[in-house]
Amino acid sequence: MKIHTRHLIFYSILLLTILVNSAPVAAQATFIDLDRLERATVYIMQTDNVGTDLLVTCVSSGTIVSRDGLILTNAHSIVPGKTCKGQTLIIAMTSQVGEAPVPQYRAEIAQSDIGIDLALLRITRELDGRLVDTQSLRLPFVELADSSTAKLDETVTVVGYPGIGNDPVTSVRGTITGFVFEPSSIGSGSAWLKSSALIPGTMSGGGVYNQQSQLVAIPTTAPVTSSNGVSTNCLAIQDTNRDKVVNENDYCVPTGVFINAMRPSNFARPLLRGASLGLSLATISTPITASQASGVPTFKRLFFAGSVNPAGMPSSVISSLPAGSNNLYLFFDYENMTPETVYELRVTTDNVPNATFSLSPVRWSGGERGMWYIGSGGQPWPNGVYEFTLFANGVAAPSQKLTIGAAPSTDPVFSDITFGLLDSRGQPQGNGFVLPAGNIATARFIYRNLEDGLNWIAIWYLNGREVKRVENTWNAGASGASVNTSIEVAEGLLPGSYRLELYIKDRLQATSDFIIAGSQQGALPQIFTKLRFTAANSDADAITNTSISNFPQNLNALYALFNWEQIAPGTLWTLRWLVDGVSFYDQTLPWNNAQSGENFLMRLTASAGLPDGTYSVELRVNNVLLQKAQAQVGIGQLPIDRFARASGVQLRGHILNADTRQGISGVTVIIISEQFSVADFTWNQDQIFDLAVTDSDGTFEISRPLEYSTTDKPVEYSAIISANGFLPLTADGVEVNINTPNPLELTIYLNKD
Amino acid sequence: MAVSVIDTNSNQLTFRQRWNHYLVIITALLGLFAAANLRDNALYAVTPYINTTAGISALYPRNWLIDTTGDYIFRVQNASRVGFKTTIQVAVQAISSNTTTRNLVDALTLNRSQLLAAYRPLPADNAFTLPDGTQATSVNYTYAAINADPFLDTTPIVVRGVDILSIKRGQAVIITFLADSNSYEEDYRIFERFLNTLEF
Amino acid sequence: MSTYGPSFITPPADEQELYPYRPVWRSLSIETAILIGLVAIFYGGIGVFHLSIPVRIQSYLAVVLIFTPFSLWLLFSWWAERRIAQPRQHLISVVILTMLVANSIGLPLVDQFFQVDNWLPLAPAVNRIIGYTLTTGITQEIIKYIVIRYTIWPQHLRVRLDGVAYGIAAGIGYATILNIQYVTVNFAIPTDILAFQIFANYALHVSTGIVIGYGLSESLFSNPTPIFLAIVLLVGAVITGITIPIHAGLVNSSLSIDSVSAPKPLFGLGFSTVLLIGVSIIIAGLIRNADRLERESRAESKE
Repeated sequence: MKIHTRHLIFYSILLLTILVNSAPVAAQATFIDLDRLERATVYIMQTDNVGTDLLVTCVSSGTIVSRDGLILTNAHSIVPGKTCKGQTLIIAMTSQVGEAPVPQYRAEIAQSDIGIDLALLRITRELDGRLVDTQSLRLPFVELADSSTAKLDETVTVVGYPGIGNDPVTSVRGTITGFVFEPSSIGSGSAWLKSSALIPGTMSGGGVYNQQSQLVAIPTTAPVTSSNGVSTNCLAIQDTNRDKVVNENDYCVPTGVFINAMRPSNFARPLLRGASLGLSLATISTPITASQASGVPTFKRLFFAGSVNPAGMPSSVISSLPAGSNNLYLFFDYENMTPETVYELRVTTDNVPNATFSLSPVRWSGGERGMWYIGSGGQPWPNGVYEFTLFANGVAAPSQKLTIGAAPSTDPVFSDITFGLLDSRGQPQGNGFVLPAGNIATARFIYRNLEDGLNWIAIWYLNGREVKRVENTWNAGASGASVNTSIEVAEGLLPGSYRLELYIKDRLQATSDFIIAGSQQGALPQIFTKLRFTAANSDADAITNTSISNFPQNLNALYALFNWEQIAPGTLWTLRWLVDGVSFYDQTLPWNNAQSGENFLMRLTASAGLPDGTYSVELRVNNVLLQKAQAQVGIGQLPIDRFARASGVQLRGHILNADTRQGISGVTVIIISEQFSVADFTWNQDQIFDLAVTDSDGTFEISRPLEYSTTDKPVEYSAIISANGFLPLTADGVEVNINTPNPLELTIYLNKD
Repeated sequence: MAVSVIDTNSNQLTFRQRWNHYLVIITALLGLFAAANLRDNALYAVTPYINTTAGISALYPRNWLIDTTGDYIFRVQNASRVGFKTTIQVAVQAISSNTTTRNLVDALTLNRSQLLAAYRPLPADNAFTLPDGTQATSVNYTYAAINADPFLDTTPIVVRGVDILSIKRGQAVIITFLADSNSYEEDYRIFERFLNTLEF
Repeated sequence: MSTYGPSFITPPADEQELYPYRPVWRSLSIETAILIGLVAIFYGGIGVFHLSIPVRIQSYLAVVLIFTPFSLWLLFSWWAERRIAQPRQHLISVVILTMLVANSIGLPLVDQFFQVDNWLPLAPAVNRIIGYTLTTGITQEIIKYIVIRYTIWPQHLRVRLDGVAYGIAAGIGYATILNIQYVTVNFAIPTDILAFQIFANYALHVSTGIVIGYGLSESLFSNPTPIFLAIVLLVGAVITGITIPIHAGLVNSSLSIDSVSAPKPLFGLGFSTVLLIGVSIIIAGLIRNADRLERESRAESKE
């Protein structure tokens, strides 16, 4: 009995150990559909027509994001530019796992954002130049994840093509090691994700996937280009000048450096929404063009901040950070930047290169000049002396050092500057960073560790020029809620971009930018007015037509107009268009129109007529929403895309002749929608979930993934395989669940009578 | 054990034997005739299609897959056919008073040459008379059909097609028939039956 | 009047051999058993143990297999027939004529005129039975009927079993032509599958041949009602019409995502065997009964 008890205890402990140990394994079990991800990953060749030849100028990876052939990739390798000069885009796909991709299609750019470095291509032609009927395309594709939900240490899988030769599509696993923030990412999470995965440069443009097989980011690096337009990491592979020698005189294909930055997929959503609906926006009044700066890109006034406010301004300027800090922002001013400028941040810790906090070379996503920051969050900064060096097109800018792990500072601090107009009680009112034109602007800031009698200076700038300097003696006590300082100009403050810098003992303590624009309406600026929609047969008619908020179906063009007041040229403003609440156009650009005017006209069109939906326009300055209007087209809701879901079980297989055990070519495999059974099927396309036809080997694949069936939501398909001369095979109640192998490979024999 | 043996068989058949023979032949002939009817009923069975909006009705082959979601009025395909799926399609196209049949033919030819591999119009008599006596224009052509799935190992199939264009009530009606060139003649009979039932 | 042939000077050892004309059932049983054995060998070797046969040998083997039923019939029926006193003279003629007519009329009629492959496999079950009865069944059975009717009937029918023997010969001829067609249409057929199909053809056509042969004998010896032969033809056709869909249904795989949808040839083999045995037993019983009735009637008339 004693022995039995001992055994019982032993086996109980053993069972408990197994259960405890197996629990995390089960929780971490991955169901990543690597087969589908690899099939959806394409190899993009930008080529140039030289005589009768197509010569490869740039290569990159890309990911199919819609069944009808939209491909998400980096813009730098496909949009013609200094480095990548080609005009024709060739799409190669992995037909056989483990083999090099095979060119299949030609593509055109559907949407691109050079600065964000993302582009959407649309497959338009077969390789031989024939037009592709995109409706008939049934390509494997991936869904975009909400990248703002990405977590630190989350496992990710990077898929792409690691070389420019025979390399097959490859996947690399890693974890998310950090988040990089920039002004471009305000409100949408981080601007870059950092990963521990070792990603070759040619995988740029590929896909980074979470455990649900959703695209969470795009690995991105841009080739650094020297002044003569030649990339520093470049391989000559073809005799492009026909001199019988392949050397440095030939085109070379940039390969980039190893990637440690991944552009979150949320940046791609506006592009995808616009491209999938075929939407095209034209700003009639003033064409919106990218910066064409011709000077040398410059970075200056580097400083650090521990946090950033919602307008993208530093809370305060710091020179050290206590141990265990998670967030650090490097601020700097920039000039002469263009979307094609490649910038890079290199960080050293105690003079040792630190890849974790560095940012590999990427395209510039800001404007031509202004203030920018690169912030890092998510993981603690180890103690040490950090040196931050910025590079523009491979040229180093002045660096800045910061000590982390220092004792808490007792130095005087100014922080959290906001701007407004003072009310009758002397309290600043307004939205904080956009003030109406007037003759006074007031800044309020927080202070601590001050001593009365200390000298401090407030310097006001307008468009980079100092306009006022106030030297004061502190008399508000050691620390407190706030203090105001104002700039007042009797003849009125000119509209433009202003900056306030606060110094104590010649050391910058706090700084912030604000905009003065628009007329005064209380404490708020009235910059954009009368934002409205209309329909018209011509642009000229659109200006005179009355505004409309409900439009009929099949609208050819939707016009939006607004008036504007006192906005200085060069002032950064944001134009955002949304449909059903999802942005499809989002650009922040300098105002390049007259200071005041009427009827800024925009025209929205779509290739096949505007789809039904609720369209809205938002106008912002300094991330402050100033005007918003919306209109309904048709039923006011986008049509449901029944092919939008990419998750599920991929069904494929072989159909064999039972008599010969050979594949049968040209047999149709029909999967009937879950609402119908075989008996209900009336051979109507509307009843079909998806169908496939076998190839010459009898191989078929149902391109649309079968939805998982659960107890809460059972999904039962039916199937028919019908071929003349063979007995038909039918099945009802076809279910797949999370335990079903994916892809599901079937071998089906067809018999004759 | 007893054994029955017939030593000689008379060449004279009895009445019953004769009629046994006649009736077996008659039964076989009747059976084969019924079989031919059964075959026709199965091979040429039809399903009605009526589109009151477009003013088009037709009887199309039963168990052919009908699709009304494309840029045509309807399209039916023999999904059970092994190889290229024999297709009949009816589409309408807006025209102006200046549009001639020649314009439509050219537009179709240009469009198809952009989409279809190895597209080649066939020299043929373009005049075509529809079963109701309406004069129409036909365009015969061939092309290579290729499975659109890039992951499959496909061999092109030579397809022969005919477009029949007729202008009626201010719109052009384009009736298309596509079949594997090897079975074109055989399947064309199905198309002829379809044309006989087509009203627009 | 009963006579024995000159070869029976001494009493034969085997009671069976007292019969002046060879019985057919034993030969048929031997041929069938050997064929089943061959099918089992090929199925075991290739289907179960996955032995691979070189392609070149496979094609020779296919030729051998095609003619195996015919060869077995030659060996156990025709050759044995030659060794008895009063052999059935025209068995070979019936086989060859059936092959020729089947090839020139039967196959084109079924495949090209009726195009059964284009509509019958996809039709509902009842339609398939009716369809195969009227198309394949009638065609095949009328050919067998006509060949026997215009070659050996009535001169060479001495006993009822003669009709069965000639019916089997016609069935062997038709099955051989179908086997040849099967191999030429389906290139490089695995040997085990070919063996199954050859047996299926053999069983069906020998079965229906027996029915037609019995009918023709009966029409000669019993002088039955004028619709008797038409009924026999229809029975033969219905056997064909039912057998084809049921055999295919038993062999056919089912569509499932949980396993390979593989065919079940053993079911088909079992069904074909049962069909052949069943038809043989029924016809043997009918013949025995008819012979008994005839004997009784002769005895009564003598009395």
